Amino acid sequence: MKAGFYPKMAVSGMRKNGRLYVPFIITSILMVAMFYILHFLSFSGVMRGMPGAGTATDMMVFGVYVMTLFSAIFLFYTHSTLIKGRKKEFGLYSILGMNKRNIGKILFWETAIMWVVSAALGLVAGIGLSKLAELGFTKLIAVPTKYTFSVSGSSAVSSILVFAVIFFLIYLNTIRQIRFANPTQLIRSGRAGEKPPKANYVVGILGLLFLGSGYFIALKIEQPLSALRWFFVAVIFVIIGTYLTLMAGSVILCRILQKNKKYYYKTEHFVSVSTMAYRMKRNGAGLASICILLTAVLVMLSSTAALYTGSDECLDTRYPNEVGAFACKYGYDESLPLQAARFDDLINSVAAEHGAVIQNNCTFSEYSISGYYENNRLQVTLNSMTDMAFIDYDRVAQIMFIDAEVYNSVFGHDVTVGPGEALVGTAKNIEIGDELTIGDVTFNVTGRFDDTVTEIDPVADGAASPTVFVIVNDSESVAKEFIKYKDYNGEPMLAWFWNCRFDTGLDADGQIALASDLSAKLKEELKGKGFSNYYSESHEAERGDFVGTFGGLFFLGILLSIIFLVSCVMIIYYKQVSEGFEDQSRFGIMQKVGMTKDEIRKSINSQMFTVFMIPVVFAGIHLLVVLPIVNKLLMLFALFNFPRLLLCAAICLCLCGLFYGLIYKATSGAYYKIVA
Amino acid sequence: MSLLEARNIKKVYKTRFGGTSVEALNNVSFTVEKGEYVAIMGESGSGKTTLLNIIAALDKATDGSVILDGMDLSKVKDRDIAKFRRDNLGYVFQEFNLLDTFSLEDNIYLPLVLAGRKPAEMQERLKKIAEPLGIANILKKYPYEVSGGQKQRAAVARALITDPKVILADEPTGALDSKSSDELLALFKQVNQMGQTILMVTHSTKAASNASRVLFIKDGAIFHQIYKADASDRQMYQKISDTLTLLAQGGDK
Ligand SMILES: Nc1ncnc2c1ncn2[C@@H]1O[C@H](COP(=O)(O)OP(=O)(O)O)[C@@H](O)[C@H]1O
Ligand SMILES: [Mg+2]
Repeated sequence: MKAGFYPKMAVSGMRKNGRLYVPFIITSILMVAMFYILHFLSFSGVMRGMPGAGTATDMMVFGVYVMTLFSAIFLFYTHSTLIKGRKKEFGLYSILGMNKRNIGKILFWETAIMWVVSAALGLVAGIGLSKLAELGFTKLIAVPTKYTFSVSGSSAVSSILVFAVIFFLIYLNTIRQIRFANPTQLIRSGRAGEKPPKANYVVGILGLLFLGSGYFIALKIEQPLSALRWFFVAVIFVIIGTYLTLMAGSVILCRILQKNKKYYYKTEHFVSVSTMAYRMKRNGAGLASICILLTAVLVMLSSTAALYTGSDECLDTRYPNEVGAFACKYGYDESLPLQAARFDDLINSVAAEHGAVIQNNCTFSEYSISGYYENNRLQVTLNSMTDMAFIDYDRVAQIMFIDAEVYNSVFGHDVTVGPGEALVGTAKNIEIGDELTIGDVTFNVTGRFDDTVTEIDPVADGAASPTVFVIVNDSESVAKEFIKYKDYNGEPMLAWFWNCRFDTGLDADGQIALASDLSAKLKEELKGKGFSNYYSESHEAERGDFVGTFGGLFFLGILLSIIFLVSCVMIIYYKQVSEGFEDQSRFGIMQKVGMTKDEIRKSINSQMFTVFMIPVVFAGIHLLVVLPIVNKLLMLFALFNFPRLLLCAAICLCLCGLFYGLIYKATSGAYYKIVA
Repeated sequence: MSLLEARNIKKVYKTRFGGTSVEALNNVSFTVEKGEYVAIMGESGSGKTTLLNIIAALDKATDGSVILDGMDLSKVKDRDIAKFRRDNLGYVFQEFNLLDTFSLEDNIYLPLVLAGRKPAEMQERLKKIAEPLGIANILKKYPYEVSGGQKQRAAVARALITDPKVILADEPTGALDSKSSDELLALFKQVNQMGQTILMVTHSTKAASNASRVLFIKDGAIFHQIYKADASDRQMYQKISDTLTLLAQGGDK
């Protein structure tokens, strides 16, 4: 055959079925664009330097995987229904003398063309959208060029390759679909219609199990950061569960309804229940995709909106005083108490230089040791590396020893702690009994101050791992007990922290100047003294950063949400149009048998409403389950305001519901036009 | 009074852009008595389906009226027309028109469900007709799982189950092989003998020879009619063939 024959056949075949192929290709273009943007955000390091960047990046990387899985499932499924509708055409080809190899070649070209078009336009869309985002960042939120979206070669290549694999799988599946059928079977399959699906209880129950365990894991997670892996597992389970439940569970539900004769044989249920039973298996995939997309949109929008609107709050929590400073040194030496005194002098002199009056001074030093906490006991050394693999990261705790005298003077308390006694406070619910053993030192716990632990550490609630503050009689002598512990690199485990924060009475510029001056002085003072970390910060200097970062995240959330919602629109449109064509003849028959136009309209509406509500309801439930985790993740960004998150979630749910309703209304117009 | 009366029915199809108009029926009048089995014959495109659709109120006549059991169809309000149809008429189509989303049983129940009947009553009615129609053991199957003949029998059951005043059948054997056709015709005869009025459109001479009267339609008008009276099927067959030859020659009767 002539060169170019197959590509030509492929193009004309797709053109003839343009009604179904155009939405399919648009959807895959959008998926490539989404993939590109997510991949770019995760791997190009644009997010670096943001507070919580690590978590955000982890989430994005995970998002890339989810996106891949999601695109694969969705495109795969949609395409296979698309091919089903064309079997007759292929039957005709083979009767006209083409063998399966020839048809396979046509299909190969079809898939290849779709891949090229989707990848090319998808990349253009992805790059274009990210440029738009960049403009948005700089123009709308006036953020310095921290987030520059540029073209990333590696993201583009990854997008092209990932979708090459997906389209190759689609191609294999298509071949499989037509391979095991002879021409007459193919011709007949178009007319004979699809088998009504059997109620598959195994798959349905499996779906519920996945969903249930996903929810269970999600609800059990206490420490989102250390349990990020479990969180991802939960997400995957919920996605799989949603697909299985909607695809099989809904058929089962319809079959159960059909068994209830009193319910089923009612005019308003009869047609809709049977039609849904017939369609759910196929529709289920589309509905599940919509549901997942909606959930993703809801989570992204509500969390980033909460952060953005709460950025002042986060700032105040994270930086309760105007100026702060911190220094840290591992190991113990005699000079440390002296060093603390030198810090005090340094601060006083810098403050004086800037004409600041130090108020609300909260300066103290503490010793710290970390280890594995279990049964009231902190095990400082782990037996071997293998232990690491099995440890529960929620139990890796950090202990802070503070002198009772310091605790009283700095935080305004009046406690007495004898030798061998301890007062403990922690924000995490870690069980501490009457005795607390750390390494081989045991303390009698004489009191708890969990409620006021944020006095010492304002973001204790959001700490990634549990921190236990232990007030002792003499922290220095306690610390000496821990000098002997070394980590795997031979470095000392014991650390000395110096914390300082205070108000200055200066204006914003003055505070910023003082902090940067302090930073320089600290550097000068500590150079060569073996400190691992030290810095100075000010509330005002961080403000722009916070607003910028959270504004950026919010913008990102909006951007991704728009893309996700556009995909939703495509899926819904696709569903409405393909069902419209199916129902055309069906409603003709019903009218002939004696169904009034009114009854038909009612049955369409009830069907549409049910199908419309399913993804929204499921997305709402998913959102409810995931909100507590989102709240904990937001704590990492120093946002401690669950009501705000709830409010944002409620508003987002309303907005998305409204938007979804509008597109549903618009696309059902397309449906009515076809069936009328 | 006749059960069904068609008076001067005219039907003109206008093409969408106003251009040419097709006159499908031109002054058709006839009556059907209760318990009669009437066949309507004519060439393809002679207006048979159009006539049947007008009688079934699926289509509106341009002029003339249809009176069923004393009720003028044109007086029935648009809103009530579907209800009227399912309460009074049973329609059997050439292409079965079964819904693939329903099992045969549910397909048959459809008109009763629409009429708001109780499940127990529906079951009772189906039990009475399923055995004679020979579909008792395939009721749970779906249309795609059964043969054309079985589908058509289910469609007949759907038409019969409402106890309609008339069964309208538009080339019911058109899509069936000869064995299934024979079975269906035997069935119609049997149903008619139990008192069911049937009006069947066909262009199969064999099918028409079962009827008690045959109407011939040509160029949108009734051309001729013959009664079977006491003639056998074979004699009737001969009579019909003769008339058809005459029709084809375009001669007058
Ligand atoms: N919806 C329609 N619009 C225009 N012309 C039609 C329509 N339906 C039928 N006709 C025309 O009316 C005539 C009669 O058609 P029909 O009743 O289907 O004939 P039959 O059933 O006897 O084969 C034909 O010439 C046909 O082309
Ligand atoms: Mg016809």
